[in-house]
Amino acid sequence: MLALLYLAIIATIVPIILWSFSFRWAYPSLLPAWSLAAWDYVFQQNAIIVALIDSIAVSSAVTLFTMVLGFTAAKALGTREFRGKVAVELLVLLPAIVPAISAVMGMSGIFTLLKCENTFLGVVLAQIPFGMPYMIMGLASAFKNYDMEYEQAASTLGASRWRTLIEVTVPAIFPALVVSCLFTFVVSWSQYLLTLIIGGSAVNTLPLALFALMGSGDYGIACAVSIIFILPVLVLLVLSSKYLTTNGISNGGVNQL
Amino acid sequence: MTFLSLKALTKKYDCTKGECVKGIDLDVERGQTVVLLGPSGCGKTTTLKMIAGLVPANSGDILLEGRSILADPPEKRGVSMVFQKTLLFPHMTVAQNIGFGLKMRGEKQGEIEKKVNEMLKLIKLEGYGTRRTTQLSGGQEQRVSLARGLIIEPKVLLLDEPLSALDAKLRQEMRELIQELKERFDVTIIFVTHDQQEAVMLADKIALMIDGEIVQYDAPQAFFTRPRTRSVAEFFGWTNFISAVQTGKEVNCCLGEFQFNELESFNGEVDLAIRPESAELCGTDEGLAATVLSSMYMGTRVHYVMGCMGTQLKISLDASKLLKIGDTIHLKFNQGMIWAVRMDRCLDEDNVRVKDLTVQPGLAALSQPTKILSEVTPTKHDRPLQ
Repeated sequence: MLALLYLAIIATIVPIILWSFSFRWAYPSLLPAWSLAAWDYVFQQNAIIVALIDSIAVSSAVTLFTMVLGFTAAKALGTREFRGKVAVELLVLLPAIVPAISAVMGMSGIFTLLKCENTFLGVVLAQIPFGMPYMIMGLASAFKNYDMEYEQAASTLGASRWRTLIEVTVPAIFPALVVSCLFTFVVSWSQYLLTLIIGGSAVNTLPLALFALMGSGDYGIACAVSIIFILPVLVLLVLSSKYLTTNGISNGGVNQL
Repeated sequence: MTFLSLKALTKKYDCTKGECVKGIDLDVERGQTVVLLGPSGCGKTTTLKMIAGLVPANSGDILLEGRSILADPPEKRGVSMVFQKTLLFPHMTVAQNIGFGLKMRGEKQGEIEKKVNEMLKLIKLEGYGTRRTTQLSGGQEQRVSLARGLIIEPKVLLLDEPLSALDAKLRQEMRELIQELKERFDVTIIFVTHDQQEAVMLADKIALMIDGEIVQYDAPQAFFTRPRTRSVAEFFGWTNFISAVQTGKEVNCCLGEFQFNELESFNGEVDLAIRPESAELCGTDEGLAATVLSSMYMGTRVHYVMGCMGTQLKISLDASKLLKIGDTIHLKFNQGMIWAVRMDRCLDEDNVRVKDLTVQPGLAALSQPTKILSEVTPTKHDRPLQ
């Protein structure tokens, strides 16, 4: 079943792969005119490789910061009841509902004041709120099924708070953590507008390169870059696929009782 | 020096959920098993969690070996706790669960393995070390949970209703295992339960908690012979409470006059508590006349409600002779199962007395060793309960 799903996902990429090896692919030919020019361009041009590295760096940093910041918020939302909880949840979800463009101009102004406009840090900071909804809601649903008494049991057995976190809490919600991180990474990975406006020309990620190439009209190169764009996400997806079942997300791996 | 001592320990949070502890004092000697017994919501689990350091106390103190541990975090108290839910870490094997505390203490892997294997043998789960916790039955899980708490050799082992999720046979086995492990590890145990029978079987001393207060702290036998208050008596199966007047060591009520060798002074008005097993049938020339009002057959015994001297008594007799409703018989009482208690809040609304019973005059006679009064003044039966 899972293999079929993979096949279906890969099938959608086939035309893009074919395009990337073509010189020209016009009606009525069934197959394109073969050429390696697009891939030559990609590997000769430093810009694409630099963009790949930038993308990996930005998205990894965003995922890491979002995870650290979102973990405690998710734990509170998942395990506690407090006044104004619904308001907090809505606020957390807001970046996923409101389009980035309505926020980014204001952010740009603030980031200029903070002197992190056109920097790597600026881009990462700008993207964090947009990763938060996926991180917090993913983890909170796992924490809803998590019994806080596990931590109490661990502490009476001599585990400090840090040891409890590492040895008990994180393993208990690990599947949800993996999935939430994956979502956050993917959201950050495809982020265009924020990187463009906050990063200026200093941070050049793959989506920026891709948009530029799409505009240029050379579909061969655009498709080659698209493949480079898709590949890391696909690898992550395959690596985390065993946690991607509904069971893994909702139960956070705590499957007893 | 007392080993573990609670001094005016107080916790006030949500009193509506019964999570209050009202300044309790408790002294536990080394190696003792003390059972905190009480109805659900009386604050016993909160007390246990305060000792473990999982719930901060509002005031009072906890001394372990003479030193206050109130400021210590749970992991530094030398106290481990076994919960009602087994709380085995689902991502670890059975052996990893048992060895968790040792690992936290930084013991060497080889040492941990040795101790864990020894422990597995003691809890009769040899060869289960590599299993996942989800592959265990409820009883096995609870044994692992107990082993996990004991292996770190805590000064005090706290058990929070660890048997309540198990069936009767497993409970018995677990009780035996707890006794056995206690001897072996020479550990002091505080055991929380709402099950009176369990408490009696396990305890060296029972602290009965009602509404956040310890109402009696005594050896188990005392609760069956010398309950202090009416609610204590009710909790331990005393079913009949007759309003009475105390004069020194004499207690006077509608059933006659009772003499006790030692009796606390309770300002005059007391309840005379009578166990259901205290009465037996006797000839018409002795005892008190009683009429059967209702009966319930229980197999080896029959539970009757009888009208006697203008009051109702719940009496349990053996089933060798069955009585019919309306039968009039004579009862004599064993005074070892009669005791005067202080009146306090009534736990069980069933025990509210019925007042409109016909008094049968002229039959007031009690078996020895009580003094017999030929003329019994009927007491008021409509005294409002406190």
